[in-house]
Amino acid sequence: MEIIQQLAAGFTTVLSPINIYYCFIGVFIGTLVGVLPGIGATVSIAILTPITLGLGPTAAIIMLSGIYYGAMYGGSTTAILVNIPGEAASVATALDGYQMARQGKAGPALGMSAISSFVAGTLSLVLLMTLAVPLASYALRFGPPEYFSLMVLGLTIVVSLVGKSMVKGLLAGIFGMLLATIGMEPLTGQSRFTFNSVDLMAGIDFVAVVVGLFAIPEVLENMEGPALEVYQARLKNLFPSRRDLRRTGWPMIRSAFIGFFIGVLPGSSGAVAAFMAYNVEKNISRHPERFGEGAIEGVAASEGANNAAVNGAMVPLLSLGIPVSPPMAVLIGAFMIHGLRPGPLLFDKSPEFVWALIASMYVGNVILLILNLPLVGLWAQLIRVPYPYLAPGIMVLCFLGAYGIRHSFFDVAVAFAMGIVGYAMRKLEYPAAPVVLALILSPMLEDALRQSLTISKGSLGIFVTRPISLTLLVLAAISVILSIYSRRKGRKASAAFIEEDNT
Amino acid sequence: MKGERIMRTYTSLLSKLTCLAIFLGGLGGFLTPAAECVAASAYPAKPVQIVVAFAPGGSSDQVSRLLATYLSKKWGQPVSVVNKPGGGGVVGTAAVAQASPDGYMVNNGQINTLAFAPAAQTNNPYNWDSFTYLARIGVTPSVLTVNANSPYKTAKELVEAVRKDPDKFKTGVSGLAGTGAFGIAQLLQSAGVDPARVDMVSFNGGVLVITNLAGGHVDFVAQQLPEVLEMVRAGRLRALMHTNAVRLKELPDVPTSVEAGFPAYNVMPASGYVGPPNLPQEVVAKWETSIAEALNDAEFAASLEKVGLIAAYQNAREYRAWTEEQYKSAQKIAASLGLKK
Repeated sequence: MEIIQQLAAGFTTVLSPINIYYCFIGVFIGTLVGVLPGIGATVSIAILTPITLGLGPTAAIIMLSGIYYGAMYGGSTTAILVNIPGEAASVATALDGYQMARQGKAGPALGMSAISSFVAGTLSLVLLMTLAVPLASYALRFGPPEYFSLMVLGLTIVVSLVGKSMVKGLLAGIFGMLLATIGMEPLTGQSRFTFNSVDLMAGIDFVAVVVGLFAIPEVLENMEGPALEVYQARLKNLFPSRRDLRRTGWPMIRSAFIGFFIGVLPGSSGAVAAFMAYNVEKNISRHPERFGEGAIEGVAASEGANNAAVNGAMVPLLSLGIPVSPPMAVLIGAFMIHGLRPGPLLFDKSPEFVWALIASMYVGNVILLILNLPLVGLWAQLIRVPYPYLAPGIMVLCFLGAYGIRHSFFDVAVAFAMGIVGYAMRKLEYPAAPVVLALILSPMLEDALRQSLTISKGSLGIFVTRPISLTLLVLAAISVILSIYSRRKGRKASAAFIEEDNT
Repeated sequence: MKGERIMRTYTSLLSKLTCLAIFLGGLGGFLTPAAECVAASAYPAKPVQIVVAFAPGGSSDQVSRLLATYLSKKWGQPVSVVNKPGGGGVVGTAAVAQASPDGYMVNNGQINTLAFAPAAQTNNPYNWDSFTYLARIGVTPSVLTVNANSPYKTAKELVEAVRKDPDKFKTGVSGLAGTGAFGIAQLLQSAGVDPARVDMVSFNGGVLVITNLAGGHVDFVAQQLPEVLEMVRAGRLRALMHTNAVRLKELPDVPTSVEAGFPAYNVMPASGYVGPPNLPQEVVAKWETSIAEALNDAEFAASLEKVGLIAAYQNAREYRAWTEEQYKSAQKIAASLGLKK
């Protein structure tokens, strides 16, 4: 009951016109910058923080966190429409969302992404309110061995993403891991595979690889043909049908839970959550073969999970003062500049602020939905632009995104090189998604492995003697078995489908 | 009919979008101060970039954004922050070392990037003296911290226990060439313990070091004040001593390292500004005076304190000499940690 009272007080603060206004501005700016790859939440919050100095702390933080979830949502737009995942968390969305767009279902895909973000976002807020305090200690129990096992579990998702050939898929995953080793090694700062180049010391940037492997080969391949038939010209309908909604009900709820609990862990990310939710849906689906070909459940799961992860990340931020992700770190900076010290005492010292923030997240989710459903129609029209005109624009966006993230022309060159690699991979039927997944996970995997072995003085037993770590490893084994099983099932189903087609 | 309706909706949406674009353009104009100050020759005659060699959100970034806002107003020229993260800060710092010496690209120098990286890393692309030093702005003391459940109530007790059985202890650091690792090495060496015998678990960033200390995965750490402060206040962590010269008003009960009997533990993370070599004297003077004035500005000083930096001004000459000193002591520590042959 106490929670409801405090929440009501929070709503009273937020529902003042001026705070709604700032919430709207934040969500709006966030959505817009999220659409542009490379200019994400982190940079926008950082730039806008000094400007909010004139506002009161509550209004300022409401606006800045609005930017955060607006940007998380906006990233899915380019992923769906033109296969450019602007940030790691949208990669899983692109897998099915883009295929849907090509089939003339851009509207339902975008609409689903908005609805799923809203549902999972709201659900995970309830989790945040009720579980924040006990969960904070759960997050602390994750030491290096637990992270290692979590990353192993994450890597098993590769099996779901391999496509036709298991060997080629695994090779692609290993390629991603190798890319991740380039740069300064995290423990002692020695350079690896850098050939004395300062640019290589910074490592290979994720966005450059993603645009290189996803968007550029897509454009190149489409240009091979007459290029007018890339998108099915007739837009079917703008919003998800009732059937779509029925199909995605459970995936949205599951993704809210998966996203939230992964989001709570410091050092993990929305991308891990999105991939995990996607993997679960694919494995339990009766038709796993539809995933990757435009399954709306795939879009719902990954978008829901990455939005829920944002709320999960609020748990360690509000209850311990620990920022889970880079945008959270910037947000914490904004807290401090406004005289709020995020830490274990924040709930006790400034409860009115915390509850106003939580209430503002509900309001922000509603604004996000109201703002984006009408925009779906507009975005969906975009693909009616003849592809020969659209393609150069896509290319420009790709390179802009690659440059924007670290202001480095070297990253543009990487995107270019990766574009060629990606094109070759496509021709040789190597899947791109495992490269990206491995690139995200393996730096964390390596850190956690080396930290664990330092702690255990070299003994591998540490991974099986700690209960959480052991559980995660068992889950990893189950995940592999399930993926292989669902892969068989998918094959049989698609074989049956072809037979049906032939008769 | 239907086509026409779609067309109409489309046009109306398009016009709305145009309005939005104009709105945003206006907002952009509001965000960046007018760029057409025609002040002929005096520095700065065009926009200045501060390169932050870390991702947004860290101390280096926060301080620089505050300073950029202040300087933009003062100089009538836009001063902007550009994040060039990667390689533990080495990449962005190297970019400034190679910039053209006109003062329009400067770097927020941290003691890690300016002194420790060249001292500890093989093939570091620059040396400590590859820069023109402008001014130091502030410091954040290093705090020796344990979990609140730890049996050790004072630095003496902890060090005594470590001396008896160094193999039993694990410490968390953010990179072996960082201020945390160096501070711990200073402490252990002065107590007669070989730093290499205590396991150093290296994490990617101070946040994870603190998280792991609070979770009981490592035994003690030497991290910067803003990182540990709130956890100490909330009673989850216990601060044993710090490297500031006098007691901190945030933690009045915690002794300085001199008071605690370990004067050798004196690592002091600092933040300042440097540019490429051979900057004109005019540029150096402008930065020296502007930073000194910023620190005297009550509003600026207050926001600096909020992000956890203690104002500690040094002019160009003092800052350079101080960094050289840090570099020399870092060389010795790096050798004891087995980092650079």
